[in-house]
Amino acid sequence: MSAARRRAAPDRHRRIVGAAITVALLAATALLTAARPDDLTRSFEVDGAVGETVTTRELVVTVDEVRATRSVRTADGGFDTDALFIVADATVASRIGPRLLSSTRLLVGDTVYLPSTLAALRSLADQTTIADVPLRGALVWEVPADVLAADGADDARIVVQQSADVRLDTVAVIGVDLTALEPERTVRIEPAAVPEAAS
Amino acid sequence: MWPVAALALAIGGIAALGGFADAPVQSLPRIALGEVYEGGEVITSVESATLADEVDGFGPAAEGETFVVVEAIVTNTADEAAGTQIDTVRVRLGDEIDPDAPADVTVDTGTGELPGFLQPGLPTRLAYVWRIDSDAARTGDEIVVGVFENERVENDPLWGDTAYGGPVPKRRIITELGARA
Repeated sequence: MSAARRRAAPDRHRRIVGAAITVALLAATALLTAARPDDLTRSFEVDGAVGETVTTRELVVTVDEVRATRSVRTADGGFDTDALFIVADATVASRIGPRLLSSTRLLVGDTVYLPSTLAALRSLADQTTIADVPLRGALVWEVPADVLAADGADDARIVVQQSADVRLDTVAVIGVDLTALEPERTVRIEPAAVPEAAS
Repeated sequence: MWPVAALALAIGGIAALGGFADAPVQSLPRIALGEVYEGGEVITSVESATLADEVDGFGPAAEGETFVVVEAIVTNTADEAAGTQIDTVRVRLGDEIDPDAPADVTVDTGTGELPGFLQPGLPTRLAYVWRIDSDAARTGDEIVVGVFENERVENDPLWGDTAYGGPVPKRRIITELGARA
C-alpha cells in the first residue's frame, strides 16, 4: 500500500464525520427555528374519560357526569340563561398544596371557555383545594346555545388544571361528547364540599 | 450654493405633493342606539343611556350622587374567554365625565356581578356605571357614548407576543339621557 493511499482513508473518514456534524447542526437549527415557544413549553396532557380517575403531578380528578341545561338551581336560588350551561360534577383533590381551579377550561374545537366563578354557585371553580382532601362539586360553563352542534362538540375536552400557567406541567383532560347531551329542564348543583366518606 | 438649491428643490417637491396641506380631520362614524358595531374581536350594541339612583349588583347611589348607566350587549368574538373587551364603552357628559375615564364599575346585568371575562360567542348584557353629583345632569341632557375596541397586536414590539393596546374609539352615539325604568 502506497503512502498516498494510507493518507486517503483518514481524510475520507474526517470528511464523513464533518459532513455528519454539519447535517446534524442544520437539522437542529431547523427544528429549533420551526418550533414555536408555545410548542416547546406546552403542558403534558393526561387523558381520561367521564367516570375515570385521572392523576396528574398536582391533582387527582374524577368527572362523574356532564349535563346541559338552561337553568341551574342552588339551595339559595339559581340562574337561568338564554344560552346554555354545561355542568360537570367532579371530585378534585390536590396532591401538593392549595390550588385554585378557576382556570379549568372547556375546549370545543378551537374555542376555549372558562368556568363561571359566580359566588352564588359555590362551584369548584370558586374553591381552593387542600392537599389530599377531595372536594366534590360542580364546574359550570355558560356557553352559546348552539355549542352542542358546534364543530368539535363530539370531541370536547374538559381540562382541569391547577393554575393559569401550566407550561411544562401535567393537566387532566377529560373527553366529552357534547352532541350526546340532551338539555335538561333544570340541573340542581350542590355547593362544593368535602364528601362525607372523606371527612 | 448648490445645497441651498437642493433644499429649495426638496421643499418645492414636498409642497407640490401636498405635504404642507392641512391634514383632513375625520370624525368618528356615528351610529344609533341599538345599532351594532362589529370589530375585530368584539361586537357591541349600546342599548340605553340613563340616569339612575340604583343599579342591580352595585346598590344605591350615595347621598348627593346619582349614576349614569349605559347598557350594552357585548360579544367576545375571539376564540378564547377573556376580559380584554369589557372596557369598551366610554362616555362624554359635558364636563362631568371625560371619555378617558373608564366606568366606575361594570356589572353583568344577568348575574348582578362584576364580569371577570366574556365567554367567546356569548352575548353579555353589561351595565357601565359612572357616579356623578346628583345635580350635574338631568334627563334629556345630551350624552356622547363612545364604542371602543382593544385591538390585538401580533408580535408586540415590547412584549414580543400577542398583546392588546388601550381602548381605541370606533363609533359614537349622540343621544339624550333617559330615565331608568
